[in-house]
Amino acid sequence: MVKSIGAPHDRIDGIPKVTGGATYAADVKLEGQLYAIAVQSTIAAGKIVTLESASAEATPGVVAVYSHLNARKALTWIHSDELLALSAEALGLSALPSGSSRPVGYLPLTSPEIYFAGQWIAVVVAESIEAARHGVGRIKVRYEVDAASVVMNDEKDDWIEPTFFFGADMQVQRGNAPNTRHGEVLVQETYATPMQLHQPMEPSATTASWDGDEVTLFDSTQGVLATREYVAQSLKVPTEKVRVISAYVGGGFGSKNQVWPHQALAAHMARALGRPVRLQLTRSDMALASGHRSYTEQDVRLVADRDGKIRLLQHVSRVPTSIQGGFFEPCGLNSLLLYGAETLDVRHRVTRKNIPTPTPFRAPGETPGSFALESALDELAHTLKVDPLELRRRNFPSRDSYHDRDWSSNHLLECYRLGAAAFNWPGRYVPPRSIREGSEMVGYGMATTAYPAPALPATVRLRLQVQGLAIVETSATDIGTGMYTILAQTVADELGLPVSQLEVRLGDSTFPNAPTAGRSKSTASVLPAARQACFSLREKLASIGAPHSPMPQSNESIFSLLERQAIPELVAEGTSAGMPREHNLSFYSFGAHFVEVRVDEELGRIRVSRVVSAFDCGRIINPKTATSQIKGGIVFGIGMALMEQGEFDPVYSRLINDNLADYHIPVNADIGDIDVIFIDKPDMRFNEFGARGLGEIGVPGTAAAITNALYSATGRRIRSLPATAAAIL
Amino acid sequence: MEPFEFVRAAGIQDVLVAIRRPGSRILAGGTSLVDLMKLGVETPSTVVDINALPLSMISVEGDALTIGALASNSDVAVHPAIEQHAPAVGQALLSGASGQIRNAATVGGNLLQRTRCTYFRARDWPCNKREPGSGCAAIDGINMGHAVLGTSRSCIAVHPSDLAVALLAVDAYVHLASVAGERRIAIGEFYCQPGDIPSRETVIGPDELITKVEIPITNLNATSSYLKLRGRASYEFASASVATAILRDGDIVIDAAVAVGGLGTVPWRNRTAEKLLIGKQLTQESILAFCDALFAPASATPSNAYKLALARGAIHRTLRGGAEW
Repeated sequence: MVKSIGAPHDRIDGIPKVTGGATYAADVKLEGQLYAIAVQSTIAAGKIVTLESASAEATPGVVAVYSHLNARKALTWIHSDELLALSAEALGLSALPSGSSRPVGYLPLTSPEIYFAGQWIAVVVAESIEAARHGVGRIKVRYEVDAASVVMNDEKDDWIEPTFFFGADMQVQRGNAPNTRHGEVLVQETYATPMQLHQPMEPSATTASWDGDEVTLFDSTQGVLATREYVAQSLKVPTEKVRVISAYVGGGFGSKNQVWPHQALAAHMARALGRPVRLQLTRSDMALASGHRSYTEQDVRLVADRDGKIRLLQHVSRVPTSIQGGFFEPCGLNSLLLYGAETLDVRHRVTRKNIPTPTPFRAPGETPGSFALESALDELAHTLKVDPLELRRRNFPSRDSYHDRDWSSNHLLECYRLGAAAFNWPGRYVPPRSIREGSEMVGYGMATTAYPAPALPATVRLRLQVQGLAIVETSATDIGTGMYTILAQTVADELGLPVSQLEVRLGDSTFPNAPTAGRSKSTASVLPAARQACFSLREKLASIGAPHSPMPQSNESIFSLLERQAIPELVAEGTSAGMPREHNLSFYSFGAHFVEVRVDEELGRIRVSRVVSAFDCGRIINPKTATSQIKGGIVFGIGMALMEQGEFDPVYSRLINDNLADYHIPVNADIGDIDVIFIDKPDMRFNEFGARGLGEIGVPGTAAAITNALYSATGRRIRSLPATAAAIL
Repeated sequence: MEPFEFVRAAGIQDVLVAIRRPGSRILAGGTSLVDLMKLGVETPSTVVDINALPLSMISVEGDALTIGALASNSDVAVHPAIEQHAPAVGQALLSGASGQIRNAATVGGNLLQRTRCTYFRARDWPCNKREPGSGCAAIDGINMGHAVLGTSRSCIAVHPSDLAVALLAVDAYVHLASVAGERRIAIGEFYCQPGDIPSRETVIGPDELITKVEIPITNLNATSSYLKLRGRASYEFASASVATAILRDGDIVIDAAVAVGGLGTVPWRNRTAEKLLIGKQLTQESILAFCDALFAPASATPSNAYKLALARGAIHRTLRGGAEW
């Protein structure tokens, strides 16, 4: 039988997804179901003085209105330290020394205080979503307005020096103090990245339905178990009384990675009203109530020898978090690992602003950080008049000197070589403004990308059924990544079955434990568990008279064996270990982007005409879904480079583009050729598949490669994203 | 969305009577009206559906091309008579919105679409256009996409239509009907600059219906073309756009029409400035002189001044030829 792993298998959930067969959280319609929509604050700081809901309550179809005035009593909606600890608000809080005024975390509908514009101040529940929206428009609020601040000010703001976050010290100063010797070259610039919104295709929704003392949530989340824990804590019920189902997720990118209040609020309202309730986030809520990537400012200073060897790498990031939350962008992560400078000065400073709490967004830290780092490398290359690729080769990190460890495997040089060859990279220094074709200036740019390869323990259950079906169950979610498909491929290979005889079931908290789908860890966490489950199943089969591996050796299928033994179903589980037990290694993936841009300077038109990116992500389980993942990441990078930008009104401190009409992401016509190359060398020191996750590594570096190409085309250095027509005219 | 009464009109007379009711709105393709109703910006008490009316013909009558008000943007864009007599119109339509929206959207609705100003499109911002007297949040707000021509202290919202810019360059007329009778208005006189009353956007009366658009068939109009500039390659309103038509005798310009979009509170054209091109060759110098005259009244903010540079680039490119749209 042909091996399934390594083959470009079509998504097994593709047909249901494009024919409407896949049920998303907001597709669920239960008998007697109610619909809820939130009301947002229009001020960014202050206090609610009066909130009048009588007119909304009198609106036809409206069943209830909840706010800080009644939620505590009517819904048992109460904030606590235990709840905060499980919430999106808490991520990063422990890294922020707070002194006397420790933030309590924000939970909507618990106080009249307003911390940011768009904060939920009430929820309207109605018989239809239209009636709920109608009621929302009839809530009257009077505020006491305080001065709000959404923009950083280096001198006036209070700055917090965070401690330890994302597995790294946020204040690294190592090696000798900078001492620019004669003949050394200096780059010293400030880079800025804008606020970015996740805006997955599927807006979050939670449908909660009670049956006695048990509640089921149809939810859109990257992690059903974390959601279950939070919701149970909020409801003050045992965890096993809460079931969370998230079989399909229409994209998350981090916005569904943490747990947000709406997920519990739906269950509280359903309990109070005795009917199922769907709490639906609007497009605007997706910008304000489920996190975002904050804007950043980053100072980078490089000191290098005349031959380009980097002696000092200084990277100081200024980033905001919310008034009550904890998350901040750890921009310096890649600066700790890449380029092996002997002196490192990588620090972060955080200040509190009247913004919604930021949250991880596809490669948090690495994405904005790599824009600054990889732009600075390009500036150094141009200062030295050295090929930017050659400069990176000269600074190749042969080991992880920050952690003082060897890499488990590192084929970055191979990525450089294969990517450059496929792109037809010039291979010598090309001064800016060298290539004109008709009315367009053409430029080439490149950047390195790197992303860690974590793994956590996971469990997969197999149910072999006599009628000829093998069911694979785990609580892991497929957020568009391909988990359904690669699990089927893995089990198909191990059991010697065609994929058509497998049914994969995901995203149900009653299934065995698996980690939240985030930080590119699902493949390395879940597939080894599936393999263990197959081993366990084979042992059971052997004990009842089936042949040993490889299966099947005899002509008898495993299903007819069950039939002969009169066993309707055989169940086995397997659990993975997470990270390798004993290791003194750094597990990272690497890659290199090569980009061609075309700029019509008279028309202010910038087009990314060609991208070639090469990646070392260990062994590739499914080249088709893997390529899609990476291409999606590169498209994110194109959006970040050229158009994405959340903007606050300077007077009202409100996000003005909380919708897809005003917040622009690339359309198909913006995307030229993208060629993805995988080195495909297994990292056998990481797991028995040799596979590392690749959900995020496509994003970091892409924006810098584009603006580096823009510099090559036009001689204009873009240090503040996005690079718009206004920036190049 | 507020509840409303829905009336399906069977004939033009039905419509003309129904729209005399205060608070009524005409529904054609619905791509603008329904969107604004969902946003709570439009709150009609009666919605009059006119889709059953026989107003979707595209035809050549004598020396004019007429387009029914209910003709879809998609149908008009690819009609051979449009391509032959007013190519800028087809190009403008194809540069707008998405395929799905163009299929639903109509020519009459396109001319009456409302501004894309963010502050207008959400009802809890101050906006003199939406709520007269409440102020303009855009003037001191995020106004990178706002107008630099025809602005007032009350409003700097940009007119969004691509079609109207092309129609302005080809000297089209808008035909209106009411119970009192019919009239025809040159497109150049159809739109009102905001002044102190930004809520008044056109000269169309509350009891009038657009029935058709008329484009004169001329040698000049047959040369027309449309160039639209914007951040992304598709599905975005213009940062700047230009509809041009030029007739030359050898190298010498004998007739010219240049309308710009994305810059004005209304589609913008200056016939006096165009006279600067007549009798001249199209050189860097003559085009520059034209642009200087055209943009002399411009008033930009620090963040939208780039639009003037974009528009100048677009005018230079189209007048010298060679810009693909």
